[in-house]
Amino acid sequence: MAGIGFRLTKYFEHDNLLGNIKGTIYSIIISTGPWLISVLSVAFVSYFAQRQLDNHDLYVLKAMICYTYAGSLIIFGAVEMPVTRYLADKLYISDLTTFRNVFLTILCGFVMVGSLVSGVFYSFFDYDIILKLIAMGFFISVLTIWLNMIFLSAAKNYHQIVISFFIGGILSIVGALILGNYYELVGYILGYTLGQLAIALLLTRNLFAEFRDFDYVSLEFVSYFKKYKTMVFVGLFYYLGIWVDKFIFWFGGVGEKVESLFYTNQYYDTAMFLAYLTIVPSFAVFLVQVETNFYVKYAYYFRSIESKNNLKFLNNSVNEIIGALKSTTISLLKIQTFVTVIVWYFAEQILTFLHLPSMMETMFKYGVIGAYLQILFLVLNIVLLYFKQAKQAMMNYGIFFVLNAGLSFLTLKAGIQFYGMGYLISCLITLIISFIALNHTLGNLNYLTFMTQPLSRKNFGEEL
Amino acid sequence: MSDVCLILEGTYPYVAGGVSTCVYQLIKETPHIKYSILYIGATRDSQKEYKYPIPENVRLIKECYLFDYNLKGRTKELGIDFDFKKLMKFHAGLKSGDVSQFKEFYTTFFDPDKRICDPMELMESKEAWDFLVKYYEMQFKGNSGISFIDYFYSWRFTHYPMFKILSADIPRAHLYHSLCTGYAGLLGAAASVKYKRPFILTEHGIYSHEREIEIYQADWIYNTDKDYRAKKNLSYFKEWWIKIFHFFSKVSYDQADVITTLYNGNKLKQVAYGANEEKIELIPNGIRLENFADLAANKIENEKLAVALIGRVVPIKDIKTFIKSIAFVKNQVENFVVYIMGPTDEDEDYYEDCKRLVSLLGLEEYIVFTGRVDIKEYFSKVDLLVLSSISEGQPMVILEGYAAKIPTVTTDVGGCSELINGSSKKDVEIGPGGLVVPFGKPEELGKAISRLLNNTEERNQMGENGFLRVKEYYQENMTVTNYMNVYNRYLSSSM
Repeated sequence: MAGIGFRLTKYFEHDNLLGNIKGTIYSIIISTGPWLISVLSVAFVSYFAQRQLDNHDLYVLKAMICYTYAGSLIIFGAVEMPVTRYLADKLYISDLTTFRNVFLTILCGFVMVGSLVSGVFYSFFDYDIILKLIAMGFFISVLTIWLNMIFLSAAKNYHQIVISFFIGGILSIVGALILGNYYELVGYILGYTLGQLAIALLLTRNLFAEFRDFDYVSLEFVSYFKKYKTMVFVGLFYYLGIWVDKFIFWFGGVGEKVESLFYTNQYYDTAMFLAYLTIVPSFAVFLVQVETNFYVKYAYYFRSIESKNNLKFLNNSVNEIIGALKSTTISLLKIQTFVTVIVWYFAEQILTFLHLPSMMETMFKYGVIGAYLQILFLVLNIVLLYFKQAKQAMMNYGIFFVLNAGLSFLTLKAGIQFYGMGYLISCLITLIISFIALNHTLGNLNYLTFMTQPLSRKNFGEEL
Repeated sequence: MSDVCLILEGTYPYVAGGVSTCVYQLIKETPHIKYSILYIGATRDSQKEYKYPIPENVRLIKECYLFDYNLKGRTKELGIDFDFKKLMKFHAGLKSGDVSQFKEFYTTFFDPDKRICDPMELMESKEAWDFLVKYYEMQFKGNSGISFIDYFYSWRFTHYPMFKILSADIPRAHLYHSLCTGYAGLLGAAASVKYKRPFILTEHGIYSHEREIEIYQADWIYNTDKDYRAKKNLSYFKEWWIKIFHFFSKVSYDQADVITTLYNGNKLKQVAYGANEEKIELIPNGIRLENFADLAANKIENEKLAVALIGRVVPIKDIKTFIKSIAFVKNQVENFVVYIMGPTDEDEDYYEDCKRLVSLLGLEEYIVFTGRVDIKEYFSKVDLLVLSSISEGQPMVILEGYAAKIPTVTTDVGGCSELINGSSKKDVEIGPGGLVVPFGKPEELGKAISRLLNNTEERNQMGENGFLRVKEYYQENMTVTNYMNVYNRYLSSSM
């Protein structure tokens, strides 16, 4: 699981402002890349588009982008963890020879599944065939970007990655604006799609340049889906969980029908996307800290087992892991509490500044707190996954998914002043159960580590 | 329900060897007894096949494998109600050979009809872990602990097969008969506790003793020589293994109603390992004299005297010492030839070494490696047998030589000396059937060989003595009758 964090630390090693900023930007891009591109590009494009498009077309554009991200992330969620695990295992033994083919194989799968899902979806619309094909191309391009994100954790060439995102992002906006001038809605969608396609292609090119080892076809990774079945659900439940409240607010009766299957809830969507933006900085910090402080202690623990230390030594190593987690969490709490309090306090001003209606204030505030709690439980579950507690993480995310669906539906019935509270409460409960689970895991770490080993002796270094 | 359940560890019907042959003879010669067999192996191997025929009176063959993988990696707390202080006391008592709690533990944790939990779940339980940690902390205070990962895996590898054996389903029988201590002995002991039936224990070689030798030489048990802790660790983990095997032996000896072994030397070892002397009976190996009758009668007078070592070309037979001894014989005897009869493919390196030694000593014209041969064909040509082994039980080859009136020069290992000189008073009066020398001494071996080659009268007399001895004490039907006598003591009351 050792990944980018290690390499990123070098930007934080020196007390050098520029280095720190660079490191922060990189970690933001890598950790929150998907979020950032989706939220920022929607914001940009819709900001410009509202000058040229009528309201209906503007909503169609936003809805299409939003649905594409939601759908693609959920599909991606099902493959993310097992493939990450496979890559990590191969990386551990420095065998990168299969990466190209694994990438291509999954890409083929994504193209097929993506075409099928988006094809069926858009068959409900009255668009002409060209627009449908563009929309499908958009969906597949975004899926390809997500797929690249998994492989990026194994890549080293961050400059290229950031440049790819930058070029593609600019191209999306410029393309959308220029083509939108001529062909209105279709032009906007085409332009935006071309930008996303550019990101997908640039990342793929970068990936191929980096993994140039001898290629051979290996379907070994398929066995990881069987071996790590729970991991499939971990990803699936997580992405379903973070989208389900939006689905409820779209289809639950309070959303507006845009066209055919496109529904939106302008206020709820915007409030939640804004709230998500507030957790970007701490997620970046967490990423770096977990991969440095925590991971070092985590690796040390397994190495101490392997190097034949006594039980007392191992117990001390466990305590060091707990210490590292505490300090990581505290620094995360510091930053995020600061951000959240500021945003909460200035919620009204922020909305005014963005020309958004003040009726969004309560749901925005709930959203900000909810997002804060979400990042905390996300952190705890990532740690649980480090300790092979996939089943527990799956349960936590499953509970989150169910709660977020149920409670969001209740708040929807309860009235506008409660919107967003369902999400908040689901995040809070999930945080509590995740905390209890992690506490139990750490308290019994030796027991869980040793007793779950297969009968024959294995190398604990493989845990890393 | 069978009359006798034979509990066999790594022998009949899958592995060839002395014990297997003995078991096969026993079954074949007692067709009126219904047998069931409980075979214990290391891991299941679908490739393996029977090495012996299965007589019709074997009604059931059940197999039990020590290391068949089935840990599920599902940790849980069983919530069992048991006083773990007792367990602590039991483990502490093992050092002094106190196994009095075996019955209680077997019934509580393993007996499939009465146990309080699944023993394999117990292996993965929180309770087992807590006990393991507690026991570790009790032994090692502060920072003095030994490698925990090795402690953990030693626990698993010592206890897993033991749990596997103890929790096995045991077929019902009137009588249980284990052909060694170890896992088979443990299972026999368990059977006697579970069904309250008599338990007979037969040991050809002394299991604990053999395992001890293996463990001292083993390098798979954790051992680092660079480490200053090495010495302590080495003894700790090796001692753990040895303690486990001693425990098996002690439980088997305690639960057994009758213990049998081949010869007196073994009996003394068993007593040293904690067996009650009064339970021990000697039942030596036996051969069919008829098979060798013509050989004894049709002795061929060769122009060259022939010496033969019959055995696999492997280190335990110490062929090298034998070869070196021939260098001495060469100077004292004229006109002789040496056959080394036995498979050479078991340890190719050792065989190559031996051949090199032969040419180094310039003995090519004397020594012939025949490979695997039909011994009886050669017997008519052979004048003297030699056994240079560093370890033996009660070698059949000496008895077979006697049957053909051929004396043996042997090293003083296992039951060899009793075979040459006799064990009981009456037996000794028959006179020696050969000469006994210390092992690993080529010169003394060479002298003894030369003495018998040069002295035809003495050699022939010893051959006659041997023939008498085997006729009186070591016939196959006697062995079978001896076992039958033991069986009948217990079977007649229940059949």
